[in-house]
Amino acid sequence: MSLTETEEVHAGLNESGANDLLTAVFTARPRLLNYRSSLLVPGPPAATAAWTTMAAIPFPGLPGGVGWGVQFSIPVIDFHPDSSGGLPPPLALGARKFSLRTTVTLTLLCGTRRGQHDPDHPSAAVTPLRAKLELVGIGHTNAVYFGTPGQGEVTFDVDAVEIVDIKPDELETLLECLIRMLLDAALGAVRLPFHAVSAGAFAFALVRGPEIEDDQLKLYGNVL
Amino acid sequence: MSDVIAAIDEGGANDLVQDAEGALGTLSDSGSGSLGPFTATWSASATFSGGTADLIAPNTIRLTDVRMDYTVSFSFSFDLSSIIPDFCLPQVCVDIPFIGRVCTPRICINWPTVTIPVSHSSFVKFTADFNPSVTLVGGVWKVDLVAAGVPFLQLGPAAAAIITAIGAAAALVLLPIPFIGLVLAIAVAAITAAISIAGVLGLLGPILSPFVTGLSFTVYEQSQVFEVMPAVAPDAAVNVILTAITAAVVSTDEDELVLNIDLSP
Amino acid sequence: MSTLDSRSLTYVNTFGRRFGEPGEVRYRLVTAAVVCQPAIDLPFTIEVAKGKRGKQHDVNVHLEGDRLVAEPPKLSIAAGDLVLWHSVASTPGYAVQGEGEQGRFDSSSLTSETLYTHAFGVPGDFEWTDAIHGSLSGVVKVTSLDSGDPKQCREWMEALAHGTVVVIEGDRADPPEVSVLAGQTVFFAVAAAEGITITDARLVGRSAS
Repeated sequence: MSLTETEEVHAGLNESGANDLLTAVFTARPRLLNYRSSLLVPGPPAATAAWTTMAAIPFPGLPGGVGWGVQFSIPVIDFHPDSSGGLPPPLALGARKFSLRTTVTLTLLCGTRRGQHDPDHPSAAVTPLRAKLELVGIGHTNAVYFGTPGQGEVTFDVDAVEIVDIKPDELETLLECLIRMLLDAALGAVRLPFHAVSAGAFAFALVRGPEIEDDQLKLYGNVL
Repeated sequence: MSDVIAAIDEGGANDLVQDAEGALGTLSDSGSGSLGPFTATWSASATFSGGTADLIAPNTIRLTDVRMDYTVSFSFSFDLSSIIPDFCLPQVCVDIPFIGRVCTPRICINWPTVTIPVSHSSFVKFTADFNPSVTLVGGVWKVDLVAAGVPFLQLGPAAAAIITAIGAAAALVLLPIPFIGLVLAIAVAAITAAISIAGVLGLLGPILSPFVTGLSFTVYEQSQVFEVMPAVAPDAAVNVILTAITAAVVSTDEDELVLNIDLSP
Repeated sequence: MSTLDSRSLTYVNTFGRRFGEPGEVRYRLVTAAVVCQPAIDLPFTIEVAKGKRGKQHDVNVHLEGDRLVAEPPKLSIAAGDLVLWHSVASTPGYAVQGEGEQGRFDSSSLTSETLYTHAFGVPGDFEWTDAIHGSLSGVVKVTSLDSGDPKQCREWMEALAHGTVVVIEGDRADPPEVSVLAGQTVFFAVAAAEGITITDARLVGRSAS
C-alpha cells in the first residue's frame, strides 16, 4: 500500500518525532506546564518566566485566598497501536487515538486564617504541601484550518485520564476530572502547523487527517 | 522508523517539478566558441517548463518532454577578403570634349573586416533522468533533483533556422559596404557555406547542453534549525534540529518520492 | 572611404588636369585634413614640353611610411597632355596642390580643364553640390541589379566598363541628373569654373534642390 494512498502528498509524524516536538515546545515555553498563584510555590523551575502566575483561589475569611501550584512533566505520547506496555483500566488505546503519560505535581500553600500567605509578605507562615501523581491519559487530534490553502494546525484533546489507586473512588474521580481539565487546557496550547508534521516538505492543502495509526500521526493532501 | 516520513506521488511530483521550473527562473551564460571556421562570442538564456515525471525506484525521477525555451545571441568577425574573391572594377574610358580621351585605372576593392550579429530564439524538448541529492550546506538542508547523464537535444531544425538567420544578418551587415552589391549573393552564400549546419551545431550544442546537464530542481529546502512554532509574545519560537534526511523513490502500488527526516529537540 | 567629395580623393576617385602651357610644374600631395597650408615644399615635378599631343599620364599616389608619395615623382609630358592622379585602397584621403606656368592648382578646388571621377559603391540618390559657392548642384541616381541572377549579373558586369560624363560650366551641370549602376564611374569634367567642389549635399547640410 502506498504512503500517499488516494492523495498526492503524505506526511507521517512518528511518535518519537512527536515526542521530540513536544519536548521542544515545552522546553521553549515551560510556562505552559507550570502554573502557580505566588512565588511561595517553590520550583524547580527557578525562573519566574517559566511559570504562568495566576490568582489565588478566593475564599471568604481567608485573606489572600488559597495559594496553589499545578505542574506537569513533559507528556510522552504514544500513537495507536499501543507500544507503552498497556494502559491502566478502564483506559484503552482505540484506533485513531493517542495515549500520554505524565506526572502532575499539586502544591497547596497550607496556612491559617491569620497567617495566610500574602504575596507581599512572603515571611507569612505558609507551608507548601506537594503531591506528585503519575497519570495516564488518552486523547484525539484535530485539524484547525486558517482559510489560506495549506495553512492549519494539529491540536491535541485529552479525553480521559487515569490516576491509579486513590481512595476513596469518589476522590479519584474528582481528581481525574480536575486534572483532565487542566491537562487538556495545558496541551491546548500545543498547536502544530501542518508544515511541522512534514518538517516543511511538499507544501500541501490538507484533504484528510490527522489520522493516527501505525504509531504515526498522518496527514494527506494535494500539492498547493 | 524515521521521525517524519514525507511522500509525494507522481501526480504531486509533476506539480512539484512545474513549481521548481518556475522558481528556477531564467538561466544565463556566455562565452566563445567555434562557428565553422570562425570564432563567435555568444550569450544565451534558457527557461524550463512542462514535462511529465515518472518516478522509478530506487532513485530516478525521469522527466519526459521537458521544454527548454532558449535565446542565443552571438556575433562573429572575419575579413571579408578571406571568403570572397578579389574584385576589381575594370578600366573605364570616355571622351571628354575639351580634354580628350580619359581612362581611369582598374579599381581593386579592399573588402573590410565585418562583424555579423545573430540572435535566435526557439525551444527544444528533451527527456532526462534526475537523481535526488541531499545536502546540508551552511546550515540549510536541500533536496535537489540533479540531472544525470547527457540527454539528447534535437537541434537540427534550430541549426537550419540559424543558418538562414546568419544569411539574413550577413546580408544586412554587408549591404552598406561599397561595391558589395556586385558580389552580395556570392558573399552571403560563401559565409553560410563556410559555416554550414555542422558548424552551427558545433556552436549550439556546447551552448545549450550545459543548461540541461547542469539542471537541478530544488524540491526541499529548510534550515537545519527548523521553526515549529513562531515566536508570539511573551513566548519564544519553538525550534527543532533536523538531524538527518534521506531521499529515495519507493515503489509499492504507487511510485513515490519519499523523504525520511529525523529531528531532535 | 568612398564618400562623394572631391575635396578628399580616395581609391575610388581620380583627379585629372590638362596642362596646356610648357614649363615646370611643381606640386605636393597633402592629406585632406591639412589642405590649408603654406606651399613651401613641392617635391614632385611635371616637366611640360612644347608640343601638342593630348596623351594621358597616370600618377599613382600611395603611402611610404607616413608620407604621401607620387609615382613617378618626376613626369615629362607635352603641352596639352592630361595627368591623372589615382590611389589604392590603403591610401588615406588626399589632395593635389601645385603651381606652374598656368598658375596654382588644387584638386580640392576644381577649375577649368580639370576632371574628378567617382565610382559609386552603394545604391541611392546622391544629391551633390559645390561646397565652396553652393550654386552648382546635381543628382546621381545609383541602382543595383541582382548579382545572383546570371542574366542581370552579366548585364551588370558589362556596364561597369562604361562611364557617364557630367560637364560643368560655371554653375551649370550638364546633365544635372544621371542614372548609373553601383560600381559605375561618373566623370565630372570641369569646362569652366572658378574653383568648385563636387560634394555630397548631406556633408554640407543642404539639399541641391
